[in-house]
Amino acid sequence: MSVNYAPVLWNRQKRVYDRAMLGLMGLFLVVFTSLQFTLHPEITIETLVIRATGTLAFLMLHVILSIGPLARLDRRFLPLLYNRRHLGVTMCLVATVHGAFNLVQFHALGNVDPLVSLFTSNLDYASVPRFPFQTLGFFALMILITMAATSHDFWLKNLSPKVWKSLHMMVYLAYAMLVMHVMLGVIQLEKSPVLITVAGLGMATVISLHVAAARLGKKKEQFTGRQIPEGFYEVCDVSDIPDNRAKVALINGENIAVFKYDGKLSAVSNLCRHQNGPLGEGKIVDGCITCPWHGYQYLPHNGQSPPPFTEKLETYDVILIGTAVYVNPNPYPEGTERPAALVGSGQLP
Amino acid sequence: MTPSLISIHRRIWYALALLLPLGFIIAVISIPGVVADPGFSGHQPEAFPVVARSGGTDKYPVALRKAENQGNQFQVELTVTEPLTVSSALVYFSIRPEGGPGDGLLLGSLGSVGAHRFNLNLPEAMPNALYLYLYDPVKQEVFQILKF
Repeated sequence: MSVNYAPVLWNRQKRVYDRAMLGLMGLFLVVFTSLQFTLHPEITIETLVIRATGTLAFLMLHVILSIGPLARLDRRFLPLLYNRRHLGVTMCLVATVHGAFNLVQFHALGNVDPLVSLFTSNLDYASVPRFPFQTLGFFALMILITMAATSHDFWLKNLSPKVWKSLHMMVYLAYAMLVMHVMLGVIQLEKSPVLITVAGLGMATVISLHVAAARLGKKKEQFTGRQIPEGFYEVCDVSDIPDNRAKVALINGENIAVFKYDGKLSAVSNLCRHQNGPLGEGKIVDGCITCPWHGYQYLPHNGQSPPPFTEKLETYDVILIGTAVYVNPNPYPEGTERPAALVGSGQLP
Repeated sequence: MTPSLISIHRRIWYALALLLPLGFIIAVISIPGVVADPGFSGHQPEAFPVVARSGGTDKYPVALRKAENQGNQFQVELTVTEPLTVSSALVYFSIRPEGGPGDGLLLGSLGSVGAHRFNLNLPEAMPNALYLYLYDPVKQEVFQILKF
């Protein structure tokens, strides 16, 4: 994890993930190519490559953007989240092939620099059907390349998780530009009801999933309990927390995960030190809180990663009164050991 | 994610949920319909009824059509059976088997697959063989000579 850097920390899950991804990509390309040759026998290889890579990259982006909210809505999708980074980088490579072939096919055969041609061959920005849609694709591709280039943990570590995550949220801007790239490009030219329907369904799916996950997350995280003396806030009933799982609470701006394990309760920051992943959506594995995103681990009573790893989380006081769980949202410094509340004791630790 | 990033994330998707469908709908209703270009459609005359002679190749069949009771009014019908591989193609008419476009009469340009008709006046007494030159003005070369 954090002891040293390696290009890719391969394990069995990542290999299975990548093989499945490449297999499905290959299957898509075979089916797409067959359809193209059937429906458009006169198609050239260059056009086929442009269409196949553009369609595949756009489809992959939809899958990538759907994984996050799907995992929040249903834990069964969490395995898809595990190696999403490889999916993103691969999608970027496919999109780059699409962009490069377009640039060569449509802008590199004249006596003007291809990039100059890209930005000057069509300046009809006031028109919807003749909008220079290729510029939208270009800027979206620049965002995707920036994200792929900074996807390694080296950049995460050096940029800080907050900056890195903010940078990578640019993917939403890229997605919006790509939807309009498609709608103002191929849809205007082909006018196909099938293409319009597929594009509309894809967009509706991604938006619906994100809005649903956002609403669910807000409902879960907003603390509605009452304050009791000594700065503690009620979080939930102890029976609401499954064994080796957590309850997440957002109290006074603090994002806290309360874990139940071995008959005890401990509270730590809900933000994984790796990519600010939602630790509260993970579980206790081998006595350690395990992040659902990439498997980073922390000891629940002190928030420290087991040796030789060095990540540390803020910790919080937890008490149990009857069966009600209370948390004090004032954080202790990262890695500070706090006594766990004993389930069944119903008393202050 | 931190609470602030979660909040930003939510706002982004609420905004996209509003703006993207709006852009989608605007794009769909702006799709241009199939509008006939009067200049182009007027350029393609109706086929004359009588085929006076034919020739050309399998790829570019040619027919010389004649109007009924109209004396010297003829029509050259050139059919393009496969998409052209040149960026631009002009059609020249000539009575000579050799030579370039400078020796012939420019009839017009070729476009997509299908029949292209060019009206012209010819004397009743014509040579046994007539020729069309298909000329690429970009490369400045004749890429096909058709006899009919």
